[in-house]
Amino acid sequence: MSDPTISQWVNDAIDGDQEAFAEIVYTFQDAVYNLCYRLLGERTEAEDAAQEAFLRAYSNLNRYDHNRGFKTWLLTITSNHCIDRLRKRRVTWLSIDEPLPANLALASDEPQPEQATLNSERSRYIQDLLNELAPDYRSAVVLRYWYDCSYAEIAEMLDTTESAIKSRLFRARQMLAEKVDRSGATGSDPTSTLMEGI
Amino acid sequence: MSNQRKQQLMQEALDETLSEEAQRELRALLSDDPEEAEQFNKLKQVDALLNTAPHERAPQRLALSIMARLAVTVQEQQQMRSQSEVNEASMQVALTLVTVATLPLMIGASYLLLNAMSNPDALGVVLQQVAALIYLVLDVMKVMMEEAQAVFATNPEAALALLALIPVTLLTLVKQVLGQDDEDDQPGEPA
Repeated sequence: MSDPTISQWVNDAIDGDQEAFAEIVYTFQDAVYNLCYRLLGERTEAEDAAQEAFLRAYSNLNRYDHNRGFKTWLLTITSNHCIDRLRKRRVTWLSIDEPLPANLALASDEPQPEQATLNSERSRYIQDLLNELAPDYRSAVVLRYWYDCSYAEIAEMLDTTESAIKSRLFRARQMLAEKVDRSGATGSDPTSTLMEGI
Repeated sequence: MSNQRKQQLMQEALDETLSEEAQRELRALLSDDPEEAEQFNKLKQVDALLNTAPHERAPQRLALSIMARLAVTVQEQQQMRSQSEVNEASMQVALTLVTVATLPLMIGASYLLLNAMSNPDALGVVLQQVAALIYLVLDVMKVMMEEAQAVFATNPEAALALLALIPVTLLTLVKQVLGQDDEDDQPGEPA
């Protein structure tokens, strides 16, 4: 069930109130941009894709089912759009050892204190890992880890089954584990964390 | 234990949804099989890494860019809508003109037909001529309507002019046909 405030914004936007749609944009821009960035791995393209996703959402507002979460609906549009873009440039993610795009290292608009720099490095490292996954795997991982979506929600968003999503996620984790192992980035003792949490 | 079962146990462990019994099953598996234990540990490391992954914040300009693009899109849609209304009105006027212009032609054809019916000998000839005339009229109208539709999308005024040409063209054709008939008749007169 959608939030009443958001439902009101949606209805107002359908009636042509652009201020109402601006509220939607301000509320969800980070979520949409982050999804675009994690799926596309490139800031400029992520920005363009986020714009496109919002415009598509605006054009389809009258199809939005108010019984469904608005964020889920919006992220579905966004992920479908990003997956389309990824499929068009398939060769980019098939290459295992491809270096990060140069503009990935550009500074953000915000100041860079030490913690932000660490976050930025970690973010880039994780993005480097994600870039190696095929679109279907990547989208499942991003929706699971960044948006806490359940298997059922991911399956609905990606128009597939829960078991397919479970399988994709497991395989994606395996592939990422192999990559992490190759890069030796984690550097921890395998036995030290083995029994934690089980 | 099947690979599918191992995968399920590890997946549920990562999702923290393992039952106590399944936990014991997984512990036994990991204790007995060092390779599986190492594999599970790697998966846990990846899981921990992804769980701490930072969210990327949207650039400050993003919302403004979206609203600017939206304003342009909405303006274009409004222009297209008003253009569409003009087009629709133009088409209605043009079709009315065509109907009004072709009405006398149809009445004329009916008059010829009725007259000819009183003279059975001439009926065959007149029917042939009327059919040919109607066929010609429909053919010309079809061509001109197609042309008008093509022009219609970009320039409704031009389409209107083109449609308005239909009656003029038809009248010219009729005159042409009647003129030919007169010429056809002339050689027969001396005989």
